[in-house]
Amino acid sequence: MPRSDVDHKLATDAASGDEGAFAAIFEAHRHEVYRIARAVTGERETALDAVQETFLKIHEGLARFRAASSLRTWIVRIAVRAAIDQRRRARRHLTVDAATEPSHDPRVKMEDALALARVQDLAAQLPGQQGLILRLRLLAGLTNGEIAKALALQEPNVRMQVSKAVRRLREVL
Amino acid sequence: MSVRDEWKDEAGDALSELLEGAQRASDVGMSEADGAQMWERLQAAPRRRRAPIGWIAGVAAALVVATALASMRRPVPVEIVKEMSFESVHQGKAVRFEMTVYRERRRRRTMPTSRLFDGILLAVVLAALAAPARAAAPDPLARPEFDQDLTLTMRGETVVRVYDALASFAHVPFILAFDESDPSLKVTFKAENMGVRAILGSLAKTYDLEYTKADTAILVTRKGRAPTEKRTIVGPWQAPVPQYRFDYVLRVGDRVLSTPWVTTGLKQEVRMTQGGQAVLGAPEMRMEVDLTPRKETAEGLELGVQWSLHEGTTKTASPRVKLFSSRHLRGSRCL
Repeated sequence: MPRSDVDHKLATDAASGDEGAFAAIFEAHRHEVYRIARAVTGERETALDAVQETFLKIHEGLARFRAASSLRTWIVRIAVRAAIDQRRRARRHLTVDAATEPSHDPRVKMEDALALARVQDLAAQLPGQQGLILRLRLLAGLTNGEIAKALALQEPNVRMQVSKAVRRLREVL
Repeated sequence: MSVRDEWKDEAGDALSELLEGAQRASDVGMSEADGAQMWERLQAAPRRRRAPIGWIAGVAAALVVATALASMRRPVPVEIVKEMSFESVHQGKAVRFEMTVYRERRRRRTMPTSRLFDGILLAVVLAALAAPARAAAPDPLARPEFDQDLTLTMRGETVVRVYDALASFAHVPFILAFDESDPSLKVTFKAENMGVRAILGSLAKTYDLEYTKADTAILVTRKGRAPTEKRTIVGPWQAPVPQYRFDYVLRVGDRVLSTPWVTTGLKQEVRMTQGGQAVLGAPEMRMEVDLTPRKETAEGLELGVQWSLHEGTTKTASPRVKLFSSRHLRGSRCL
């Protein structure tokens, strides 16, 4: 069965209340949704909130999902928007952090974690949507086309923004 | 070169190395533990949205889970004393609250976890039973400031710090007059669109505290106990007595050495210390001025003043001579 048919069947089953189908969707996409959320929010707790919000929206929207786009594309779009919302909310609301993030993820080498933190800092200094696009491109691993669809931009525009962002980071470094 | 790496030509070696490290760190997906926890949260959330009975069942289930978790021995570096969480949708807004009270394991325990938790549970039950009898008493939390919804995240904080944050948000001072039975207890909580009153209620139940109205402030005491002498005031504190500001000019001849100022109120003696050198290279001098409020008048606060001059550890002039025994300085009211 083609992938799109599998996705459509999973979506239809999950929409009709089949928890197993929804679990399969969750299991298949949770890592990517988390990567997107982590890249956009830059913080684990906020990212987990965004993941939860994403899958709640997916659950609510499954009945409306049509196979016009792939399930993954649809999920990526929801994930990007949920992560942006969550990041905005986290900035707007009063947040008192006693400590910085607990310890870094033990699955990640310390120097890589530091590199990630540095890139997040640098991305935060980029103007307009460049920081967001850079995070989605380099950290979340989305293609220019996927970013364009998620942010309602033209693909060449996204490519140009990535290029500009990389050049600017190089200047800063 | 993968599509993800098409930027490498423009990046240069240093940036490439940095970005590759960041990519390796980002490639790690959600951990299995987070995945399992997330799935549980997802399973609970849609059911709660469908029916109010689901929300009640969810809270009950959360309490059962919290009880079970608190009584378990956990192989983690902290010891969970109490956990609570719930979420609901109210007027189109998601309301979430999670609170974990814990202590660090390396600290010595003052009470076994299960006994402490039993004590907290018993206190909660007794509080619930006693509530109807005390229903006639005015609720100190019945203030419009506590009607606000708050989104607040705190990690590894003391209960004092939590009250400080709540006081700052609600602009209501709290007088914390209770002994911290276990100072190593820390609280981590995340509230989203949660009413301040509900958060205060949860804190009181968790820490076995009660609230009393104290003028514009809220007095927080251990339940059934008198306020302790040692108190911590948090929040936008308004002084209980008027405060006065005094401005001084210290001169040597025509040369102004400094222009210190001090605030005080009736029954608040204050000492002002001013250090300096009369001449460059000369020994450090210190002037101490003791201000003793006498009475408040329409013009301000009348003060008695004593001063002394010190050079190193030696008192060199006017050892506590009352210079203004028949005169008083006047300060202007500032609060």
